[in-house]
Amino acid sequence: MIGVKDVLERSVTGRIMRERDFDLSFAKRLRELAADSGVRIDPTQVIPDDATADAIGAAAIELLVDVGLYNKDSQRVVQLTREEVMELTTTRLSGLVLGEGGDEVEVRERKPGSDFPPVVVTGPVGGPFTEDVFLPCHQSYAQEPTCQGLLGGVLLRWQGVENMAGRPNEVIVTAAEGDLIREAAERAGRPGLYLGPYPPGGVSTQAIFCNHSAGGLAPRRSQIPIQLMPELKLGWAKIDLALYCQSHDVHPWTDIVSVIGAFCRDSLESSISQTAGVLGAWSFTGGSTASIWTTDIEGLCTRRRNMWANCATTRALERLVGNPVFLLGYASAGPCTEMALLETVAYSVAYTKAGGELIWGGSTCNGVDPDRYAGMQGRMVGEAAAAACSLSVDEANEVVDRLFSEYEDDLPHAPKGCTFPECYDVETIRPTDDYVRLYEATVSRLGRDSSLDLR
Amino acid sequence: MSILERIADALDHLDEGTADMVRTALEEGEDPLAIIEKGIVVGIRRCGDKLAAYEYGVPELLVAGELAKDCVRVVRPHLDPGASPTKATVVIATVQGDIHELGKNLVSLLLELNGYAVVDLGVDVGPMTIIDKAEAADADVIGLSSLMVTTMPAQEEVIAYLRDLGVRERYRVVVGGAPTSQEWADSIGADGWAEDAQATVALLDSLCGEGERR
Repeated sequence: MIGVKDVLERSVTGRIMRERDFDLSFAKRLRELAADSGVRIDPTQVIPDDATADAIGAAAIELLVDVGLYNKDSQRVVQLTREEVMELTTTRLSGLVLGEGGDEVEVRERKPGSDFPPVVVTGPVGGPFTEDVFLPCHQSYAQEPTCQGLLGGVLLRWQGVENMAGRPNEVIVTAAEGDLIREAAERAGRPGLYLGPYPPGGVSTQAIFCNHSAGGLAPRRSQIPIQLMPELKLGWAKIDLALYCQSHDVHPWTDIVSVIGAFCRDSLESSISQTAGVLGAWSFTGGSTASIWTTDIEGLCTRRRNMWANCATTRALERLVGNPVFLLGYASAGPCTEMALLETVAYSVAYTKAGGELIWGGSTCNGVDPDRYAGMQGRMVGEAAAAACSLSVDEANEVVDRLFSEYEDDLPHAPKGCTFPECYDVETIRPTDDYVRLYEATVSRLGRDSSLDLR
Repeated sequence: MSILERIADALDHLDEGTADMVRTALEEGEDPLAIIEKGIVVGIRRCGDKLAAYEYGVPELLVAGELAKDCVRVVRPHLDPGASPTKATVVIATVQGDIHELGKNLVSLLLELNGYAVVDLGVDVGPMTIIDKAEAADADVIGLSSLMVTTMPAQEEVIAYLRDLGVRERYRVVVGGAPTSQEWADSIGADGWAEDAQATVALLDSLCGEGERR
């Protein structure tokens, strides 16, 4: 089976090509395959049917075999054979265990009809923080009963050291992030909680290598993020990370982001590219999980088109492979706003009914505004995912469509809501009465207006 | 439809025969500057609008850019020697520590298509390299992209280097990237901030317009 050493070898012997020419050949083939797929997007059906999923899976295999991956550093094409790609689809794990002790969770294969919810991993997910807010805010996520894993944010500064990616500063600050996140989990009484791609703010390989196993973190509590760059691109640093995972017995967090409006023009193209990206990335990460997310060139994640692409990729992988798919949800609005709760319900319902195995969500403000994150958002991910299990796919599509109509027009100028200290007591880590009232009112209204019972 | 409108339309539709149409226009006695301003620029602007509307992607813009360059190559010998179709020279980079390039590439492309000479330094570029290249290119504008909160300080660092070297006043410095904002740009002493690629073109048009150049 193809592995990291084959990809390394092909990265120095493959066909030399300028990046721009690769982009053009990728786009040309993608456009052809999308047109030939016969898929017509129904914007009211965010969770696509089996035939659509199969067409996307088939197109993705053709795309990967025809175009290959691109190593940006050697400027060579890493070509994969059809046999190699097909073998990747039949040799993945269908589940895995994350976390330890009483906080252990099993990620099990799901389908749209599954009567159990996906694993719910919540947190600020890369959102930036000032020093004093970091720990209590993470604790607010970890203490929620629905939280089965904690995904951290990024410290902007630690004890006078500014976090600057790629410099020793990053090593120092990400070490502190790791310590604080573990402490937040312990304070919440969840010492074995799964902590996702770790350290959360680590961008450079040196920061990840220095801090991944700091504090005696067991491999099952964390993963190493290896992201294929949009679209279908890797580089030496990605191969370094894959080699680290192999030597440290860490299951890699294979991460694929697709950007609608850049090389892909729409949801269909994005889902084909994303599915191809997952298969291609496994050729060197050796992983089985697929963390997928689609943004658009405006940086938004909860638009109809983004969620359609994510659901379509999830369904394509379910039909083609049956591996664990991790779906990212970011709200554009900030904490303590109805809009953020509605966005969170929309993606949680959609990703649950698309058959996703794990949702990583609960973040707000698109993950860019300092301190505007809160555990109540994580609570909503868990409650909405659980409630969605009793819906049919048609009912889920209807609920999500209704939610889109409520918030989609406001996305470009979403309200930023409150900072964590404005909506939580930072000593007791309890939400303010206003926040609780807003949450309860939203839950009641959704129960009245739709078939979604969040209680 | 006039020949200029046909040129705009052909470019907008990525027609490989656009440069031939420009040749025909010149043969018919059209003003070379009008061919650029009312044909090529209009066509490119429409492509930008299609990008914003998710009708075109970056690859379509790359093709449009090549077609536009071919057209300008045909027109250039007919232009007044004093007339330059270039609005200003921009040196652009994603700052040190940051390897995100999609947004920066899109800005480069749209600036180029809108008449700017662009020197794209790529990603993860240190402050002194940016300054050296700006000096070598005799740039009017330095554009700095950052997609992470942990590389935003590197934008500020470039401005600090420019100040320390005593050359800050030589350049307009504009910043951008998902986590940045007008407030951020103001706080680090940048000359401008733009929300997206289209807005960057408008920003530079206002910064580099007549009487605005340094």
